[in-house]
Formats: sequence, structure tokens, C-alpha cells
Amino acid sequence: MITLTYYPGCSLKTSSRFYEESFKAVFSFFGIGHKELEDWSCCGASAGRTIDERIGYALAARNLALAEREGHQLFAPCSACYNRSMITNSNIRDDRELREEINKALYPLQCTGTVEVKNIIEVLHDHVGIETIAQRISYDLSSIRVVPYYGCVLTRIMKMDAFDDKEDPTSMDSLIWSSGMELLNWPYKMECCGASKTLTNKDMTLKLSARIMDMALSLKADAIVTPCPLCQMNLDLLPYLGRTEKNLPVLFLTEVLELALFGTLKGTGSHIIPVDEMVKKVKKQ
Amino acid sequence: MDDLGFLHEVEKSTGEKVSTCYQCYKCTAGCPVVADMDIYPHRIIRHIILGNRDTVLTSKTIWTCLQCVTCSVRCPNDIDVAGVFDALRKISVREGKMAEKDTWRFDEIFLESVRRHGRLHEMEAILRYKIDKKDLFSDTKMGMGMLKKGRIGLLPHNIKDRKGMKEIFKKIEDEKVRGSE
Repeated sequence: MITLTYYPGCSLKTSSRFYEESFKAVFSFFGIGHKELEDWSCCGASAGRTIDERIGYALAARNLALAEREGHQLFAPCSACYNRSMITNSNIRDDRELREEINKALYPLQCTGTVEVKNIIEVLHDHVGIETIAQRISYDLSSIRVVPYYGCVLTRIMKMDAFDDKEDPTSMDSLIWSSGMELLNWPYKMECCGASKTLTNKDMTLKLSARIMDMALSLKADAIVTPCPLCQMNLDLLPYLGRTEKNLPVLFLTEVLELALFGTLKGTGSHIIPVDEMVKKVKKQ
Repeated sequence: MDDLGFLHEVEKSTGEKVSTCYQCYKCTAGCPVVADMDIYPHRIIRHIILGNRDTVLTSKTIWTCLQCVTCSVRCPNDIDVAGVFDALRKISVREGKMAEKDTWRFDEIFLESVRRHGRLHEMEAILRYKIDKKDLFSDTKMGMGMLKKGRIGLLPHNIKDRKGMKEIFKKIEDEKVRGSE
């Protein structure tokens, strides 16, 4: 059995704790082990890099350095953690001056930029695979129509090849498809949800997230599926951001698999936009 | 007003070849928040080339940007436009020319929380920002709703090596001071 070094990031321990519970249930079903990175810290998110590039690099590199002691792979389910870790890992590896400067700050820790950073989509493809998913599901999800929503930062990784197409990714589509849900084609796979403006410019987040919700509604979807904690949060917050129109539940990718395998969601109570109506459509196979 | 050193300064601090821009407008066409900007992204790039330093540094645009990097991915000349905006923010702050202060202030508070705890303490960061803005009650309903759903951490999540974390911040800051001398 493979054991992945798991980097939760702040979100999976606070605002998206049910994402952690969800992937753990799915991973344990498929026999993927995980070990939480010892004493991990914040990746710096967008704040670190904006205030000072070096702080941004140092914060992400601290976790990479810890991960290098554990093995060769680091699993980061949060899109922002994944993005910052990928960019930092690559730049530290390729830029000697940067590596020396950051390592001076990290001392006695050392980061060489040699771990492989993996997101949730890659882990599910690499260690489970769509065939296995399709074979092992116990519930019929064919009456649930969903749109795949990737968000900005998972594939838009600057100056690097991404694991999927930067503007028209399909890797999550096939995972959802293998769960048996009806997958809808839509133009908003990559539209921005408002990112970290939720507190500083609420109206902007409302406008952007509402546009995504409206598009999903116009296609008569039952839910939006995303791998990103911030996207999930912003869309799920729509009722509190001032939207009065109808909203669709926003599921994490692993929740789709939870439904296919177990027929229920551990995180039902954590969703702000209720999931009950959608869960009712799940049928025993 | 024209500052021919400005292009050089921006290119040097970002490593981006801003001068290769041929004004195709792709960055502007794909930007999801262009309606909230005072100067379109492709024009910011042009202003940099022309040396219109103050126009760029006092613009609302650099703060409206969400860093979704759609523009950067689409640029035919491989200019990381969002990265350039991020660098412009730093210069704008250094020179006290910010058109909007909230974005920067929130990022500072975010980092301060990470420096103290090693991880973001959501409740502390949100309250500090709200106190700073003298606007404690506008989002009470949202806050209570999130609390009820267990989606805000009330307590800090301290790492074990908090001392090491503070040292990382200090060493980076000391290096910055040395670098600018």
C-alpha cells in the first residue's frame, strides 16, 4: 500500500474540514495511505508573495524541506497550496541564488526542490484510476447532473508545464464521469470565483461567484464540483454574500466519489447551500 | 512625468520582458474584473513602456486584479501580466501611492498571523481586519452562519516550531534591509 505525505494547508483543518474527512473516507476505501506532514505551516498563499516574494518562497519552501525528509511525494489537496508548492519547488531547484538565499533563512532546514508535488486529481488518477472507480461504485448517480469547476490556480501555473491543459482541463471530468454522474459541458471551468476578495471587496466576489452559479443553473445542473477549497467556500457563501436567487450545492471532487461508494456525505452539515435534494437522487445500484 | 528608468526597474524586478508587448489586448479581453478597473491591463503595460510612472502606480487596476493569471497564461509574448501587477503593488506601497489600501492591509494581517502561529488563525485575522476598518458588524450574519457550520477556526493552530517560524521571517527581513543599503 502506498502512503502519501499529506500537506493539509490551513483550509483543510478549518473552513474545509469536511474535505479532509471526505478524501480520507475515499482514500481508505481504495487503500491509499497518508501521513500528515509533521509540523507543517502555511504555504504563504497569495499574501506572502504579494507582500514580499522571498517570504512567499520561504513559507512554501519550509514545507517542501520537511517533505524532503519524508520521501519523494507531497500530496497537497488545496489548490493554492499546490500552486505555491509547485512554483517554489521548481524555482528553488532551478535557481541557485534563490536556493541559497532561501536556505539561509530556513536553516537548519534545507530545501532542494526535489519532491514531486501532487494534487488530488493526480493522486486519484495515479493510485486509483477511472476503471477501478467505475468497477467499484455501489450507487447509481446517473440522475445527478454536474458541471466540473477547476478554478484558477490548479492548472494556471506560470512558467511551468501543468499536469493538465491550462485553459481547458479534462482530468477531473473523467473522474466525475467514472463515478456515473451526468457530466455537463460548460464554458466556466476556469472562471474566477473572486478569490481572496471575499472580505476586502465582497461585491466583487458576489458578482463573480454569482455568474458561475447562474451559468450552472442555466444548464439545469444539480451541483457544481470543484477540487479547490477557496472556490467551494466562495460559491457556498453566496447566500451570505447577498444573493437571493436559487443556489446549487457545491461539492468537493471527493464528495462525488463518496456518493458513488457510500451513497451519503460525511460533510452534509458543513455545506451552507443544502445538499439534501441532490443526495435524494442517489439510488442503490 | 515620463520616467524612462521605470521600464527598466519593472523588468528588472520581475524578470519579465514587458517591452515585448505589442498591444494585442488579449490580457484585457480575458480579464474577469476589467469592469472594475480604471485603466485596462494592456494599457498599464503600455504606460510602463512609456514611463508614465505615476499613472501606473496610482491606478486602481493593480489592486483590482485577483491574480487569477488568465492574462499571463494567454499573453503571446509570455509576459506574466499578473506578476507585473503584483510587483507594481510593492512599488506603489513603497512610494505611498496606493489607490486602495484594503487588499494590502489584509495581506499584511494574514502574514502577521502566520508569523505568530505558523498557520493562519482565521478568526484573529478577520477580527483584526474588521477592527482596523472600524467595521465590526457588517458581516456578522455571514460570520455566525460560518461558525454554525463549523467553517471558521475559533482557536489558533500553532505549529510546534514557532520560534523557527519567527526566525525565518526575521532573516528574510534582515536580508531585505541589507539588500537595499
